[in-house]
Amino acid sequence: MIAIQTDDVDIGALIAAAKRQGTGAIVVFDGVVRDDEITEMELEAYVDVAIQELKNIAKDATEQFRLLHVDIIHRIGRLTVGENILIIVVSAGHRPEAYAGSRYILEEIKKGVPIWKKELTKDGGRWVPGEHSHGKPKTV
Amino acid sequence: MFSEREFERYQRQMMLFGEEGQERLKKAHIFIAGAGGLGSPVSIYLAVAGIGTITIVDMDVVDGTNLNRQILHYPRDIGRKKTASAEEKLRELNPDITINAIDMKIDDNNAVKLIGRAEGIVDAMDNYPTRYLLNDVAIAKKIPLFHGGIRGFYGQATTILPGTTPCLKCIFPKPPPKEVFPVVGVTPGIIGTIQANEVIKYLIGSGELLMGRLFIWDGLQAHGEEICVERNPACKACGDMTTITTTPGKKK
Amino acid sequence: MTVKIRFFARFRELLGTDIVTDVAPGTMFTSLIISVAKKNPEGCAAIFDETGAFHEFVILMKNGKRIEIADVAETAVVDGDEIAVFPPVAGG
Repeated sequence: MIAIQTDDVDIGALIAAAKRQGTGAIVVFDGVVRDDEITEMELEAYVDVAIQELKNIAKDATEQFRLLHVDIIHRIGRLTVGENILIIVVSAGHRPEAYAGSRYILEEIKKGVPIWKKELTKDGGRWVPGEHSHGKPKTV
Repeated sequence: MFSEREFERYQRQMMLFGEEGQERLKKAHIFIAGAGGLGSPVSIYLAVAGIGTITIVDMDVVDGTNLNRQILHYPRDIGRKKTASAEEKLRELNPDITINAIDMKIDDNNAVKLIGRAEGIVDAMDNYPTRYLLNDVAIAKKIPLFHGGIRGFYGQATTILPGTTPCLKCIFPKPPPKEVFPVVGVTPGIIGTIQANEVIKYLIGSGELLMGRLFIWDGLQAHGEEICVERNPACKACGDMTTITTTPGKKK
Repeated sequence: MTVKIRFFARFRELLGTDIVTDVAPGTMFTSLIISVAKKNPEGCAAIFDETGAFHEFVILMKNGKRIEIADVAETAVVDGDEIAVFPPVAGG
């Protein structure tokens, strides 16, 4: 399942569905809204392009790491501390591929999918610059 | 893997760089900043050449005064978002590639993610602040920036490989004053096509890129020449990058 | 001594190019260009600001090597030099 949506997902159900013939390892990444002095986070996406990029990343990862199944669910909209933002479920024959594939997918998503976070603090909002960005967070 | 239709479409250029070269173009993802005077010829030529994914970003609406040069847009597009117009024409030109047309203003907050996993940036902008931003992102991502600029009958182009060649700030540390610039369509036509030419050469790994060379075009004299440009070790943008030996076009 | 001055783009439009001129030994870079540019007030204003300094964005070269605006005050020209003065173009 590759999706960008406001609703949360049942990770347990995804894990069960990820068991394929030959599955020896399933790795789950669950990115969660951290309580860094923020109350909420708002996520925005350029959905058409973002969803395509998620599919491309899943396809690349599957080829590179011989994965048996990939789910990527990226949530958007307003999320509070503790909520799930990004869920990646990867199933492979063995654990090296599962770990590496999961990491690859995460890094590629961070690098290049048009989804933006705004952290909402008590003083207002600030956009979170990307990993490689020179931009400084500014109070909105 | 190409369909029969693709083999037919690319037949005459596969005579130059083979199925392998064409495959490199197909696997490529290029980001074009701007769907205007430069963006039009660049995107058109990259689309027909078979670049697999083109992401083109613009925030403007088509205006009557664009029509002397922005050949992606027609009279019937006046009032329409440039990205909508661009997407329609590029898809029609080549239905076998992916066009992402994003209606947004490129800024500090979104540039990194808009450019995303693209492996090269085409500067088809009309202002220096955004050009410098593209330069910063190219440096951060260590991907090429294919720069072009025009005014009237004059144009310039260069290919920037961060860490190897001078970056945009090395070459142009200060921007020229903002103005409503004069332009005749052939000028961005020529410069944009040169930029597309550079992209293709980079991806297939052939020929000599405009690295460390600023190509200057004088359309009134029908004269092109070059200025050699060098990295500025004290450059605020790329000064602390160690030299990266990239072999353009060689895929992993 | 003889030097050649090449202007590009808008500067070329206003002042011409491939200007071969005789100058006295010890002529400084800036005064050389001013002397050529002042033939056209618009051309002069395009290259120099009101204080007679080069606009910050102007690119200067002597025999193919870049001269920084900061260093130009100490730069003299010698016989056979080829000078280039170039404005970046911003349109697209």
